[in-house]
Amino acid sequence: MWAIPGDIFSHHPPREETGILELGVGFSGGRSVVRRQYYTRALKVIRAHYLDDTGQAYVTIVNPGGGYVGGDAYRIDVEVEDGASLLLTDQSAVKVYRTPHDYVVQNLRIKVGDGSVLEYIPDQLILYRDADYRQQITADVHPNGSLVMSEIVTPGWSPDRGKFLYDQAFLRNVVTVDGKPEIIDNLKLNPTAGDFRRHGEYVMAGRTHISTVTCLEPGLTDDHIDQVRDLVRSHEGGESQLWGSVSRTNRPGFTVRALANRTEDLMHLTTSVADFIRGEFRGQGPIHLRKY
Amino acid sequence: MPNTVTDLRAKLITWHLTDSALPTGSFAHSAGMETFIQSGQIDDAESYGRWLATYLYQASFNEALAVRLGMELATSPLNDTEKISQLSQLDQLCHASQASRQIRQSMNTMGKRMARVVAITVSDASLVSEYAAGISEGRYHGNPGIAAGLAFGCVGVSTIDGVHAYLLQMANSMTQNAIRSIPLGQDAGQRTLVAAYDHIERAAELTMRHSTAELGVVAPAIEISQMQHEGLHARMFMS
Repeated sequence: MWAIPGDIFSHHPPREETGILELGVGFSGGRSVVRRQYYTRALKVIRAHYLDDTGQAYVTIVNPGGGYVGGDAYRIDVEVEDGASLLLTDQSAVKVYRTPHDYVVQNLRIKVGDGSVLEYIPDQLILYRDADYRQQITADVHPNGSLVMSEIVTPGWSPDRGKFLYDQAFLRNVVTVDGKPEIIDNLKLNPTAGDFRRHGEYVMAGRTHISTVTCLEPGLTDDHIDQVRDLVRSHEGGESQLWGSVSRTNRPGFTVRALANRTEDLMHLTTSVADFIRGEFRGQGPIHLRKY
Repeated sequence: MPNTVTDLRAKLITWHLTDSALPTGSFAHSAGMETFIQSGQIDDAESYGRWLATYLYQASFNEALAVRLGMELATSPLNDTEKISQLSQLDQLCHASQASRQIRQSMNTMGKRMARVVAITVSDASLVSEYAAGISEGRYHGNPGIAAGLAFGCVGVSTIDGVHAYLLQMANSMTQNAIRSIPLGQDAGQRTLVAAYDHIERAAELTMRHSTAELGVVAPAIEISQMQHEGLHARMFMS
């Protein structure tokens, strides 16, 4: 009864994907290696790098087309097999250009195995005037798996210098553990819609940018949540009026949500939160993403 | 078609279950409003009214939508076993959609109490007693919107009437909380409630239009205030 209608996160009828990426990372010979990869058309990956001595694979997604336009459909499947660790990011911000009378869909399917780690920290999503972007992430995480994933939504500037004019960012994340949905994070931003504008004070608090960090971490305690809360507080304010908070999820984990007026501050918060978890649970140093 | 007797009964049950004095514990939960009261952003009837409007707008994706989906489940042609399976899924979806821990807990405690009252009120409906018993036994998390929706559906209330009544109850309960905590005068509170009629009407329209994809959509600023509520030093409310 509760199935999602078929015309929200896919086109109806479904279209051939503009880009497909399938990636499987496993643990072998003391480090995490790409075991399977398949990509076609507008998506590809740069071969794995190793940024520290933990054996974590660092993989970068590339969109050679340079941007998404109306009617595009992207599919990304990522599996981190038992015991493996993957830091996944993209080469640059995903830019969604105006999509008159049509929308862009991106579907990510994530699988995190027993004792595996996935950190998915993409660059910001930039939505230009009239863009309508729908993204659904379904993540199936093993009870002993660790997941950190983030998203930053940024309005692109328009020629008349009007800001915050995209049509829609509909981002729905469903994280399941043992087949049960444990975290459903549902953001639907419609900056040009009447209701959304009318409620601006208590929807976006007058800000234009938003970020989310979702974390599932088996060993996480309330004490860690307090530390993340302090971390978020330390990023609040400033020129871009960052304002945010954190709360514990049903299983050990949390959601951080923040609003601001600048991407950089939200990205700084996002990497700080990811760094805290890396340091606390895996003894890894801060993320220094190498952009090409 | 419902006859006059059952139609009257449906109305009585609606009024009963959406009385703001119903013992569900709503007086203990501000849904994050207290964070804005402490920061000074809400300090009078006018600023409270603006918050209330967005609170109702957000409910169209959450509690009010849970009412509607609960009603649709109760009136669906599924057999009892299938209904219980769908109820379990809906309960899990609603629970997983709440990022704020205090809101999850408030939904669970209010859901438990609402289900208990509903089981007394609509004692002949097996789905209603299943939900009440299942929450007590830990098989469901509990959500007051679902509990009310099951009751409305079982006694033949129309979906839009059920959604309107529930939204008014939310506005009424919260306004009582605002009167006590901001504080507001009783008359100012009632004027704010009357001004919220339009927002109730609009939120109900949206509730009827949303699909299951929209279940749990957040108003980020309200959500952040609900998360920040955990860190307030002195609190009148549990959420």
